[in-house]
Amino acid sequence: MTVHGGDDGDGGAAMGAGSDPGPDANLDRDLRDSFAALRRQEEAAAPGFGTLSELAARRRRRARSRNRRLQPLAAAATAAVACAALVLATSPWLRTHARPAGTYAPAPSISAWRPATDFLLRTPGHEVLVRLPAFGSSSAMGGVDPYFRDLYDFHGVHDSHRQGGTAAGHGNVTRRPRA
Amino acid sequence: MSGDPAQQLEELHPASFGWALACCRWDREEAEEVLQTTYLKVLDGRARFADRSSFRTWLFAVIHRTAAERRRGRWLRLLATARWLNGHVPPAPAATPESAAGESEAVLGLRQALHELPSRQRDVLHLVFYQDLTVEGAARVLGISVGTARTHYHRGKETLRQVLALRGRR
Repeated sequence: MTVHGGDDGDGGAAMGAGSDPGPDANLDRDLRDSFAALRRQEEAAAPGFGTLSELAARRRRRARSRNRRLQPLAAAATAAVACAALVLATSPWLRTHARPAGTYAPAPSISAWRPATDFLLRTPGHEVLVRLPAFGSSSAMGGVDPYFRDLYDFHGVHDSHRQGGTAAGHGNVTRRPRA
Repeated sequence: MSGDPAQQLEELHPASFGWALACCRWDREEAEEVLQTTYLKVLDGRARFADRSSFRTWLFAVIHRTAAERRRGRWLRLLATARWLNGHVPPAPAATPESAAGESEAVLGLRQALHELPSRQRDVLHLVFYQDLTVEGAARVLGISVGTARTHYHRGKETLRQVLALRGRR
């Protein structure tokens, strides 16, 4: 028997004449003996090659005959599906029920398209963000939500910008008490 | 290596049966099925030997793959049955009473100890100690790197030593 596992530097290869075999070498020897006994028993109980190859050949024949039986069935099924497709494609019913060309709504252009959830993005004061403010005029705030327009005096903001626009200028935005 | 595949299969048949048994956890019927399927693959040319290793190493790799395919197929069938829904999973097949009757205590003990090992460790130990392959050969059969095979080899030996010691103490 060849030395097992000796190529990785342990096992039976370590056993030299006169040297004390280590526990690993002893384990290797025991394992080798046990596996050899196992192999002897299993090989003695192995079925003959002829028996197995005969069984394999029989299986192959059975598979081939099954395939031969199934082939016409598969061909018939394929033909049936093809016929059904042909009948459907040429049937007058499809022609009468088919939608005539040109009745489909034209696809909207990408710039005109709006998502269905667009309204969710419309927050109070949204107009301020999408419109350019005009200096000297309060008309730019015309689109502000009435609630915010009532709450704050936006005139002061524009005056403060004209005077230099410091942070203190924002003090001109005065809160009016709501009636 | 050239030659008649049938003749080569016949020469390697006893060793192939031992390896098939190990791949099927010593389920004899399953091992015979695996071996039949493997022989069919080789003889029909569905598995082709490409001279990249020895014929034996290649054949063992085909047996290992075939056993894994059958195991997967069986699990899929199990999944489809009501038995799986009931949580009943059949236990791993052990040696049949007829085969166990003629076995020595040491062989039976080794086989039971091998059952307790993770499959990779068991496979590597089987290929090295039973089939006389090197660790590199075992790695090629199992389709893993040599380093991984070496790790499984050492861990497997250690686990087997512990299991056998535990059994000896009982």
